[in-house]
Amino acid sequence: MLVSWLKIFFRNFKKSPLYPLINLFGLIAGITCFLLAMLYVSNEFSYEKWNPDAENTFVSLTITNDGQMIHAAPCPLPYSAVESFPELTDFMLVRHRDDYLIKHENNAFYGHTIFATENFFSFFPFPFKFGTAENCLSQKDDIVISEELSNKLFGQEDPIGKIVQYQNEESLTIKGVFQTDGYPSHLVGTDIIKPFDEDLKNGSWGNFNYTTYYKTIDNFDAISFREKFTNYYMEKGAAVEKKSLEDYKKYFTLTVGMENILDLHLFSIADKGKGASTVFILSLLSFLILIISAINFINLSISGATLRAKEVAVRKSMGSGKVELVLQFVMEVVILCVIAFLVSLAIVEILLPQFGNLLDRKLSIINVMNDLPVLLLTILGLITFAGLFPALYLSNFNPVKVLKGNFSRSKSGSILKKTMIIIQFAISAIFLISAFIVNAQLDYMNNKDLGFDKEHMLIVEVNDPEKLADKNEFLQEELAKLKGVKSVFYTDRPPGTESNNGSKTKFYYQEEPIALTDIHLVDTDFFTSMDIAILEGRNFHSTEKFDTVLNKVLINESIVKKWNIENPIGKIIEFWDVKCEIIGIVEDYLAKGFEEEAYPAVYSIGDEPRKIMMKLQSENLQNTISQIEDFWVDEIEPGFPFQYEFLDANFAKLYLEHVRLRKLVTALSIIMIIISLLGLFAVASHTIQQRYKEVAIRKTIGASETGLIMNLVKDFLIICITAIFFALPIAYLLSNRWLQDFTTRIDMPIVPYFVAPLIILGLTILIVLLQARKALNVDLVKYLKYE
Amino acid sequence: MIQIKGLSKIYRTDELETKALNAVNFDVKKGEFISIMGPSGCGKSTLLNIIGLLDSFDGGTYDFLDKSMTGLKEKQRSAIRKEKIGFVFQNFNLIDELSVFENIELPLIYNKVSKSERQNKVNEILERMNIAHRAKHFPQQLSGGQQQRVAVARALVCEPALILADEPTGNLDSKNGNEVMELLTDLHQQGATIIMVTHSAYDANFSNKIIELKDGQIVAEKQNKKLIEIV
Repeated sequence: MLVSWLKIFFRNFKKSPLYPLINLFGLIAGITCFLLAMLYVSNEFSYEKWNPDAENTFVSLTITNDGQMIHAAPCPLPYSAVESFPELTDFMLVRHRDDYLIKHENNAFYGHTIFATENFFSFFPFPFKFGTAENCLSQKDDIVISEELSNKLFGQEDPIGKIVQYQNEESLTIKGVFQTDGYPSHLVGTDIIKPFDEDLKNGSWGNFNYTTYYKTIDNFDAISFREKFTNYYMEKGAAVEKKSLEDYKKYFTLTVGMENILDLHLFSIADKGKGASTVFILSLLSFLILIISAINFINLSISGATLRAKEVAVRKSMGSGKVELVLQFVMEVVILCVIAFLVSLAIVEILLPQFGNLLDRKLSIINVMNDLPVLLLTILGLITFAGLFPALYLSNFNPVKVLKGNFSRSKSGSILKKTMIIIQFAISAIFLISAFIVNAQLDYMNNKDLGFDKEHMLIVEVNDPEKLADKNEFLQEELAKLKGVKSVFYTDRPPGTESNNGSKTKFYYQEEPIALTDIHLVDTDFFTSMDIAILEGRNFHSTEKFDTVLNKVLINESIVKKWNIENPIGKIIEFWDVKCEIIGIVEDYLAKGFEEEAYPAVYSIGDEPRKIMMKLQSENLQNTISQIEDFWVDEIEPGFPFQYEFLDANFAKLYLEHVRLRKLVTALSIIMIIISLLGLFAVASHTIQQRYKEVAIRKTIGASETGLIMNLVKDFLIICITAIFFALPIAYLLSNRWLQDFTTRIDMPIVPYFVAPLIILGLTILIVLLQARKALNVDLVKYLKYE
Repeated sequence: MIQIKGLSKIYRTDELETKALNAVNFDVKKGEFISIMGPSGCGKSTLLNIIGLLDSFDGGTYDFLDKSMTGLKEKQRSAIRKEKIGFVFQNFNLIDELSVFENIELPLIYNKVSKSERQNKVNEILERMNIAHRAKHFPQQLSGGQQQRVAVARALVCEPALILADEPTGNLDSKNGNEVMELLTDLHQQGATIIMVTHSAYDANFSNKIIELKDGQIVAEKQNKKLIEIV
């Protein structure tokens, strides 16, 4: 029996390979997309799961009244909290630092450093490749490095006990090399772990600079703990700073809480529900692609059913039961699926590195083997559904009718097919329109006037701003002399760069507290060189310096608007316990990207050049940069490799996520449309073949070619237009929702709602026309005589 | 009306060459009712298809209404078919998705007849064929005889110069078959030119000339002396 089934399957395949191939292609595309997406999704969900104590490990979370959220807390808080609350059993403090230099002999690299309390590895037990976690951070000059950094510095050698130079200042002893490959965590990317060298216990209660991790008892409820914890913080803080509780609460309008580390990666409160958006979009898109290819499957099988009707009838008349017939067709489906699945696995293996790059993740098939059964089950379930449908349809043929030759097409079959195609096309149209809108918004963001000049602006990282403060004038003068450098200035915060300054600092305007203002430290040339407009008042004079008695500051439009300030010029604003005179108002510019456009900020002269910026001439850029590099390494910071970046690239990081989304949505909607069109191609050719007899009759009576083609194309046009009709409102709702997340956004464009349907309509007509032309050349005599 | 001289048609497959028609000479005058008879595979359907411009020929000449039909393009053939020729088939060849009325209306639409005129003509012919009460039905809902009458109605509705019938009674029982034959005889008496292919000597007796084909050649041609009286 099985042999006969297989024989028939392969003979049919040989006779008309086109449809099974189209089917196969669609399935492969569907399964490949689905597998890739699920590999990514299961990787995303695996963050911190390997940590045996993850359920009871929490991270500090501070929520300000206007909705800002950071995973930081003041450092003395956990010391007393662990003693006061039996729910908290242990804590660990961490502070992050980017781009710190580590050197061994002639190898030097910048790395991300974590300053951590000694018990870091009891909270995050990453395995050790060399050394052990025990006492690895107990001495001041101990250091633990990542496997990646170890490979860069020492190759495969065991570096335990070796001395490295840190920031050209300290000599540290390597105590361990930890591994992160296969241990997804929010801390992956850390190169260096080093013990604190400050007195944390007696630190400031108002300085929210330390990420704090807590271990808790089982079934700890972080949400209900928040109120208790906030009150505790307020009382303690007020007592330490010797203020009344009311006063203290006035400027610390915030909630002190924590969230579980398992939520950190995708479902952190700080991400405001958007942490999992890529996961969500990707899962949705790939699932829809899988459905579209399953629809192709069903449609093609039902279309092909008429061709198999005679075989079914003969088998039935010879006594084959319905179950056996269903089994036979399900087996054919399984063969196709197994082939498709194996090919997909191969393609996934090939595409995985690029796909991982696009999403900035290291993915591998083996790492997520745990979830593979789930994937397989999903795919198998869908395939069974897709295979069973046509199998039942086929096995229900009435053998007497079929054998007598007056088997007529079933109406229900054709309605089912049409509905399926409508669903396919509606889904494709929705995502094509969405892709257009995502592209339009990102183009708009790329081309929008940001409020500052971003072209040819070089940013140079300063490794030790304190040291450079003295050399500042010399440095600026000498750099400005270099050929190709138009101007030199500094700031702590070029647009696109995060800074911790501000947000939790106490501010007073005319003695009244105003909370939540950012502090930008700039130099006198900042606004002119960046081409940022000053709306009122004046810029800094070139002679003005940072002054601890009476500083001059500029404020931005947002402060004025947010606090309803009238005539602010000449008024006093106080922060960091320094009184400052407001000398001007600066136009808002997009410093934090498009999702957080305007925020209140104060601009003060900084005394340390944290980042030197230079406006360069567009000619001979490379040459100019190497001159700067030579000068920098020789004169300014010897021993530190030169680190630079362009402002536009720095700013572009802010919408990396959206660029990713653009690529994903565009690529996946193109795949969707290709699969849908392939399906349409096959269904159209089947449907039109079934109508050959009708075409022959019409031709005999004298139908014109145009009339005939119209007749054949009409049905598909109706399908296509119905699909578009359903797609338009859904696409509108989806993209409108997406656009809401941008404070600076395009008006909903109308063009995609015409262009995308026209593309789909055009391609549909093209494909159906190709098939219809074939119908015009049918052999009249053959189709008039026989069915 | 029709002059055919030395007409030949060859079917070729990979290995085989079959002469379906071999130098056939054949004339039809206006108002004649001709039957073509012969065993299976003798070429009678091929001859009819060539006359009906459904099929091409390989040699000889064919003049229809004093015009040469040699080397016509599909578009020209189609134009002649829709104006001048009506077809009746053994298996009726009605379009399942169209109603009786719409099936009959179809040739009028292709001939660009106005809607009101179409309505009149179709109703008129429905009456004549005695199937007016079936106008809204679909082919599947009719008996074989009724279906064939619809097919004849469709062939007649444009008042063609020539009616071609390919075994019109082949799929019908004798009662329904008789009805169709009587219909054709009526038409003939009203002046229609009819060429019919048939297996049945009984049916052939309705015509006034019988041509016998064998192996692609005409072997006999005889005038028929109306053996069957029409009541």
